[in-house]
Formats: sequence, structure tokens, C-alpha cells
Amino acid sequence: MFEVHNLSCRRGGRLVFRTLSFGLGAGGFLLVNGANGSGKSSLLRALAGLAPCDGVMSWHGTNVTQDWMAQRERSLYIGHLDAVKTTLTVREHLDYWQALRGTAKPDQPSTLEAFALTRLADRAGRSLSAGQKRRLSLTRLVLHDAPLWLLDEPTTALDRDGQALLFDRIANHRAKGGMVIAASHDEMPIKDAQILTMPGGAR
Amino acid sequence: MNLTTRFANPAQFSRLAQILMPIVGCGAVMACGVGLYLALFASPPDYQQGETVRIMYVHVPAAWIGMALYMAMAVAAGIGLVARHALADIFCRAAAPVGAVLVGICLITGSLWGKPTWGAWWVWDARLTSVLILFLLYCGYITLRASFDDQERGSKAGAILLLIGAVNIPIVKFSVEWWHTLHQPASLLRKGGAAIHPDMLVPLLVMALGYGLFTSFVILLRMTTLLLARKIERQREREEYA
Amino acid sequence: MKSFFALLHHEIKLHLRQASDSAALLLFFIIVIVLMPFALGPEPEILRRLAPGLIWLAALLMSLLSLDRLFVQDARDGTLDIWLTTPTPLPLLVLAKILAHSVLILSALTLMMFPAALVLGMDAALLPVLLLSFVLGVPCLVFLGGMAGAITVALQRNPALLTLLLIPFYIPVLIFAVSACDAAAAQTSPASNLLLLGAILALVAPSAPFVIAAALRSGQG
Repeated sequence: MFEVHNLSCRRGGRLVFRTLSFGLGAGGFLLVNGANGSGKSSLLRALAGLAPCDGVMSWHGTNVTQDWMAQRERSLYIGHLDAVKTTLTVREHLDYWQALRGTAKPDQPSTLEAFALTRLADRAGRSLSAGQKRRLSLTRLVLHDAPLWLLDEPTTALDRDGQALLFDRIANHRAKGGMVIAASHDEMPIKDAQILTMPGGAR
Repeated sequence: MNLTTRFANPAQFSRLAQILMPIVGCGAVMACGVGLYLALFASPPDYQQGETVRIMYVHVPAAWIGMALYMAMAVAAGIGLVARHALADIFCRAAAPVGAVLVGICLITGSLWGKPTWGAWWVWDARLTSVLILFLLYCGYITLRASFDDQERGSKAGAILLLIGAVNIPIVKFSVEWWHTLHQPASLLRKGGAAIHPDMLVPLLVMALGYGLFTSFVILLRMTTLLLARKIERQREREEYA
Repeated sequence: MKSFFALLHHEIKLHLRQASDSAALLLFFIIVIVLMPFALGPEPEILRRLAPGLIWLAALLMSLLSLDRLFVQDARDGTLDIWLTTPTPLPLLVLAKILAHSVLILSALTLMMFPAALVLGMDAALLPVLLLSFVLGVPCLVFLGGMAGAITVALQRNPALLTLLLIPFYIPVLIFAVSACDAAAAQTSPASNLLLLGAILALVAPSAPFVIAAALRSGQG
């Protein structure tokens, strides 16, 4: 159970959102939508520990801000930047991200297949299209084991096949008890989704 | 109640500042007045330099206060980072330009003192060089804070810079002294420091007091102004958001 | 521990892949060296006496130029976000990155100091001391540069600001490094200068990863 009470966040000297509260249970999906500039990205960054915020966040009752390391272990944040380097191949990216996370090597072929990247395994980052880069960065979802997924505009640049793969993964994750919080200004065909609409923005 | 937490409340601080400022301001005027009288008229001229030594009374206290202020800022930065004292960052922002100007005064008056004394507008003397580096430290901090739109991020970045800067100061002093003695140019500045005649010491100390009080006055003023600006900004935000 | 070496390996690989950028650094170094005689006059005695200082100056400027690739690129492409959200201790990641960067700069300088010494007529007997001063001094430059780079990572790219911030910290390193070479040139022992350089390294190296980690965390918003 992941709960948030009265969260507020300032960014660039402005108050981006305030007194936000929600709760998410195992297998839950929270869709955060709102206009441009309403603070969707800031909310996700605050939940990931990337942006300082006021308020209470708790995981199964324990305060998250007391132990950020535990929060990092249990959550996976995928922002709207892809973290793709021009000089590394797809495979090398996966190796690098694994080394960063310190996880053991999972089975490589099935990881690549999760977002249909098998054919691109040895392509360098510079020759990937925007959609392919997005798929590569989403592959981190399969690479690491984390119960809480924080996704910022995950469907950007993805074609219909890519989106289908993503929704599959999300459904899989939820079935195993994982939680997903995704920010998007698009509609997402996810069943039983909680919706959080951010006030403000785009004036 | 802890002394520091007592004044952590910005509103309480502003009230305190309103009371202190006139007192400190008058004290500064008096101390500087007395100090200048002593410096310009009542103290003896130097046996070597003659009347030009009088610039020392403006030059040296500026260095002392400029140096002390940087250390105070570093301490405030540490308190701000560790104890999250609300006013620590406001103090650093308020004090930085004041310190920079003081060190600037020190450099300029040093240069003006140098021309008649050593015949050059600038010498790479160990002390002057260290002061120049202190000036660069101040400028670096001010430029850094000015580059941040988000003052909260800027405060943390600035605090880290001040702390490593403070650690660096003794290293710089030592290394510049080392560098200077290694290259042994003709000793242009008489190494006068050990025993200053009390007739010269008293005006110096009075001037230092005057500088200190004046600096405190300006910093209190700047801090209240910065707090007011922040209050206005928050108010504007609340109205915009509501 | 294993992941530390894996990261080190990845960072070095990244540097090697960006060969053209690295070559640009080497070129910058040699250009600065080549410009010196035009600025100072071609008299061999003057150049030979000043050579260690000029080489160190070029090395320092080259280091400043290279700081861009330390954190700015990662911040721009989103890798920094991964760093900040991974459960691996951030100081460890930072250490790997900084060591890889030091290896890059040190390798470049070890290579380029030979032609530089040649062109400026530096006494070949000084090369070991120069190398030793690089081994001790370059990590100092990189660690300090990393601290300044981490503090400014959230800002627009501003090399002038970085230089302004770093100068007060680079000056002692420069002083001791060049004095070591000068001492050797004067047939005296460079040991005291090298030890002082080592002392700076001993101060900076253990603390920098933590300072940098703190700066990177507070720089995000």
C-alpha cells in the first residue's frame, strides 16, 4: 500500500502542486493526467525522490522520507528522457543499466524480446529512432525487479505495437501484485485505473 | 529555548532587526567617526612611509572583516545544510555582496597604498595574492547564486561551495606563502606585523569595530529586504494558485 | 564491489567510444603549448625555464575543458536520473566516474607531455617528476572539477562560471606541482612539494565522492 498525504512541491521557485493525496494498493494503477504544466512530471519526480517536496509518503505505513534507499530499491522511475547514449549498443545499454542497479544478469534474449528489440541488439544508440529509444528505456522495466513503477509519459513516440507491448507488461506486473503510477495526457486503455487529475497548468 | 531556533522565525527576526538596526547603525557612525579622527589626525605617521601609512586604517580592517565574513558565511552554510535553519541561507545571500565589496575595498586601497610605497600598482605579494583569491571566492559564490532561478537549489549548491571554499582558504594561504618564498623576489613590503605600536593599534581596532558594526547594519538591512521579497513572492503565489 | 568495476569499465568504454571528443582535448593541449613561444618569444632559455609551468597550465586548461563531459551529458540525456534513483550508493558511482575521467586525462597527458617537453626544450631529466606531479595533481583537478561540476549541473552550460569557481581551488595544486618540477630543475629535492600535492589529494579524494553525491542530489528538482 503506497499512500501520499498533502504532498506539495515547488520547482523553479514556483509552487507546482499542493495538498495532493492518494492511496494505491497492490495491483493498482494510478493514471495522472492534467494539462501541460500541471505538475505531472514533478509529481512523479517527487515520488521517485528526485524533487524535494513537503508532505507525507508512506509505504505499508512506514514513512518513505526516512529511508530513501529503500524507496529506490522498490521503485523504478522512467522519465521522459530516454538515457540512451549515442555510442553504446542496445545490449551495452542493458549491461550498463544493470551495473548501475547492481542486479544479477537476467536472461538476455527474453529481455530484448520484451519490447521487440532482438533485431536491434547491436545497433548503436545514434541509429535508433525515437520510438526505438523509448522501447529501449522501457526495457528497464523488465531488467529490474521493482514493485512500484513510476512512468512519465511512457507512450510518447511509441507506435501501436509498442504501446501494446507496454500495456501487456503493465498488466503482467499488476497481476503479480505490482503497482504502477503513470503520467500521461493521453488516454490509456487500462482497466480498473484510478485517475488523478492535476489542477492547474496550461493557462 | 535554543538561541538559534529562537531567531529562526523570519517574522521574529525581522522584528529583532528593526530594533537592532538603529543601534548598530549609530554605533557604526560613532566608531567610524572616532576611528577616522584617530586615523587621520591623532595617530603618528610612519617613520618610513610618512603620511601614506594612514591608508592602512582603511585597508586592513576591510581585510579582517572581509575574511571574517566569509568564515561566518561558511559556518551559516554548514548550519543551513545540517540543521536546516531557515535564516542561514538568507544570511549568506545578504552577506556575500557586502564581503565582496569589503575585499574589493581592500584590494583597491592596497593598490593605492602600493603605488607610493613600492612604486607599483600591484605586486604579487603573498598577502595581496591571498586577498585576491578571496575576492574570487566571493565573486564565484555571488555568480553561482545569481545563476540559479530556483533559490532552494541555489542555496544548497551555494552552501556546498562555501564549505569547500572555507576548507580551501588555509590551503590557499599556505600555498601562496610557499609560492612567494620559493620565488623570493626583492622584498618590497616591509614584513611589519609583529609589534604594531599601540598608537597605531588603537585606531586600527576602532576602525575594525566601525567596519564590523557597519557591515552588520548593512547585512541586517539586506536580510530584512530579502525576507520581505520572499514574503511577497509567496503571497503572489498563493493568490495565483487560489 | 563487482558493480564498481563494471561501472568503471563502462565509463572508460564510453570515453573510448567518444574518441573524437578525446582527440579534441589532446589537440587543445598541444595548441596551447604551441602558442606559448609566440606569446613569450622563442628564446630557448626562457622557454626551458618556464616549460614545466607552461605544460601544467596547458594541462589545467585542458582539464577545465574536459569537465563538460563529466556530468552535463548525463544530466541532459536522463542518465543522471537513473543514477539518482538507483539503490546503489551514489558516492560509489561518482567514484567510478571520476576515476575513469582521471584515467582519461592522465593518459592524454602522459602521451602529450613528450612532444610538449620537446617543443619547449624542457630538460628530459624532469620528465619523471613531471609525470609524478601529474599522477598526484590530475586526480586533484578532476575531483575538484567534479565538485564544481556537480554544483552547477542544474544550470545552463556555463564554462566561465565553472572556471571562476575552480580557480581558487586549482591555484594550490598548480603551485605545488610546478614548484616540484622547478625544485628538480634546481637540483633540489621535489619531495616536499610532491608531498604537499599528495596531501591535497589525500584531503580531496575521500571527501569528493560524498560532496559530489550531495551536490547532485540537491541539484535535481
